[in-house]
Amino acid sequence: METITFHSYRGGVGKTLLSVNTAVKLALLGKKVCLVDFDLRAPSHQSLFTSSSFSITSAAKSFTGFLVGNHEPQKVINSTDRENFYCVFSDIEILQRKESKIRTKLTQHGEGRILAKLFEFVRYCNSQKFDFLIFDCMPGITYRSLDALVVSDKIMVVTRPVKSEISGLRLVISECYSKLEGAKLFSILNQVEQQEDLAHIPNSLDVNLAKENVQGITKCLEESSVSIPLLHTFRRIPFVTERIYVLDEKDHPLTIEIEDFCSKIL
Amino acid sequence: MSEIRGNKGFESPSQKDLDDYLRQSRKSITQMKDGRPPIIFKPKKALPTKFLGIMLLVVVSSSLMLVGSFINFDSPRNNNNTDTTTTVTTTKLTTTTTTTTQVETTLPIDIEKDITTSIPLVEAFINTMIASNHSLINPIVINGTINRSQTISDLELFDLVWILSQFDENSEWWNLGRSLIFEKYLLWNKTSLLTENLRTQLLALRSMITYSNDNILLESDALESYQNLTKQLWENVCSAHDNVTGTFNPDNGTILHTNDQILFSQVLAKTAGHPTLFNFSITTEKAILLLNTIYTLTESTDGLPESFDTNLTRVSDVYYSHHQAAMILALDKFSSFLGSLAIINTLTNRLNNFLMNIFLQQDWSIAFTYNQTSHNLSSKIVLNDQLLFIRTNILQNKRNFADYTLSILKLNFEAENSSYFTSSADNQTQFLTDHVHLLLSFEEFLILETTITTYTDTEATSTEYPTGAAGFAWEFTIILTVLVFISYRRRKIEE
Repeated sequence: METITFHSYRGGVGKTLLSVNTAVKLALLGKKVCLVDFDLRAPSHQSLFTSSSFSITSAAKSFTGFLVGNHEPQKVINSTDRENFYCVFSDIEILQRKESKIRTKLTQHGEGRILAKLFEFVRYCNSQKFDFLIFDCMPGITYRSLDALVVSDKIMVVTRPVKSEISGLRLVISECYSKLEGAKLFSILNQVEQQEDLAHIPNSLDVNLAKENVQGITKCLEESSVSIPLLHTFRRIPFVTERIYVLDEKDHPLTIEIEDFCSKIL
Repeated sequence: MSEIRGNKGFESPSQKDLDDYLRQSRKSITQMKDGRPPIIFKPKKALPTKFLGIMLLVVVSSSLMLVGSFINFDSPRNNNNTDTTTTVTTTKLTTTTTTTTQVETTLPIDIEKDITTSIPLVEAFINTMIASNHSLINPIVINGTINRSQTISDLELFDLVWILSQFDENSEWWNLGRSLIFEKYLLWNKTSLLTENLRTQLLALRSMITYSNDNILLESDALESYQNLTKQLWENVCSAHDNVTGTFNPDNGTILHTNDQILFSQVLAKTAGHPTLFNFSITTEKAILLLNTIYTLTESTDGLPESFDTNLTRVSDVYYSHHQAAMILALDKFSSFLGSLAIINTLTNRLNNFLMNIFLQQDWSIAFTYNQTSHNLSSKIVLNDQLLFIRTNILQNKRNFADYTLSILKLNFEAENSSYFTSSADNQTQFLTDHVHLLLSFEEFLILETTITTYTDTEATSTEYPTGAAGFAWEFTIILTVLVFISYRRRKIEE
């Protein structure tokens, strides 16, 4: 089994869109996949899946509850109408408790107990013969995102070509990625303007800035003290929302790109 | 509230904390991959520089005052008394301080409560059993309400003694086993054991060897009788053991199978500590032969878990796992006297893999049905399996599995508690051994927990301080330290 985490320095770069579509596509390709909504701060998978053509065929417990010891690992995995695809949802019920030791344990250091639970889950999935366990991780450097990074075999670092992302990426590489051992790092450049699209942008300043930002990210990755090869560049597709395109729209450009991306993972 | 609305309280570590966390995480993951328990790491709270400065001042001043305490201010050199024969009497001030260390711990289950609940029930059974002649039918009273009849056989007694012997030496339970064998039943006087079947002889041998190093025995007149009986039993068992195949030749009317091999392995493991009674080289030779036999029988042929037991009629994975778990526990004992033999490691790994596969497939909540109608042999086996599995996992430091198993076990015990305890089936002794096993599991689990957590500990320490100038220095230092600490705490609270 391969454990993959989609991580980024900051939110809004497209982690959820990419991880969900990748996970579903891998399942459609015959792989047994478990996708975990590990953005404990702002979980979104449940609403995403219930609004798609997917059918969740079980009502599993929350992953957040598992992490704090309320549930067993087998109780949190939702089966779906797709044979190979399983998903795990988080909720913010515990986070809404204003004063709670459990909340503190979950959001702060946690004394390694949350890490141990996460590892238990990875081990459980391994025993259930999953081919891929995919974590859609919360952005930034928090104790919980560190947990996901530590238990992963592969880390997909998702970035966007914007100026602030360059300095953020540099920071997260030097402070965090360079200190991880055992996991392979790959970068994904998302929402990149294509040459033909740039031709339609009237302002040359914007065009130059877009090019500079891509170069800045690439340079940052090249100069990194740790190897983070660029695995895939996703083009910017207008009007893309958080949907499962690989399922709903087989000819959509994103579906085609995801297929290409999955072939690289496999 | 801003935390909840903003980042919902998810803490971003400082660079140093991040480095520490990653380092400890890696270590914890490595441990867990090896089947050991995770590390519980405490975040380090950096002390403010100002506080450290004050503390340094306190330490320096107290050091100076300590030096001062060695100077006798009343000595002839320090006063004008010219009488060199003056005797100075130094009185001692004795104070008692109590230090309390309290670290909050979160145990996955309430072990203390479970032990408290289990002990009286087990005691009720044991007290009834040992109240008078154990072979007679005695009434049993549980919680003052239930009366029934109970017979305990030699086999059950031996089993009980063996289980009790596995608690820590000189613990309450261990002592109970000792008193059963040395005071209540005087097993070495039972020469009739020599005419019993091999199974009984194996059980008796195991129980007797367990306590054979005890001072009660070694200093008693019974030592010779004990040694003779043990030696005879040992010879009987050895002669029945096939030196070529490593298995037992069934004697008349006895069906011998894996249980006996396990018993024999437990006997062998125990004999290691008694070179004066037995020839150690023979023991080692037999142990290796036995291991080789088991090794061959556990080799899988088609990739599926395969038991080494071929004589069982009740064939099921669960039943096999019972043997395999027991075997792992026996192998652990072997390794303590045979050293780290590759065959032991391979066997342990193989058995453990089988066991893990079997247990991962079981839905224990369904299998564990204790009520009057289903409290039968199969459910006992399931409970035994679970208990052995817990102990096996504890032995191998697989804390998560032990934790998980124990939690399920506890839930089921609670759910079916009353019907289990009031069962009219003739399984009271099985209940007893199960429950003692459970206690043993709790105790082992507790030990495992204490290796990674700190419990409330109160201890009184007595310190002596000199009076006079030196005494004042000490008191001054203590007061200063307390004041600094109070001011530090107050500032922290204000922050």
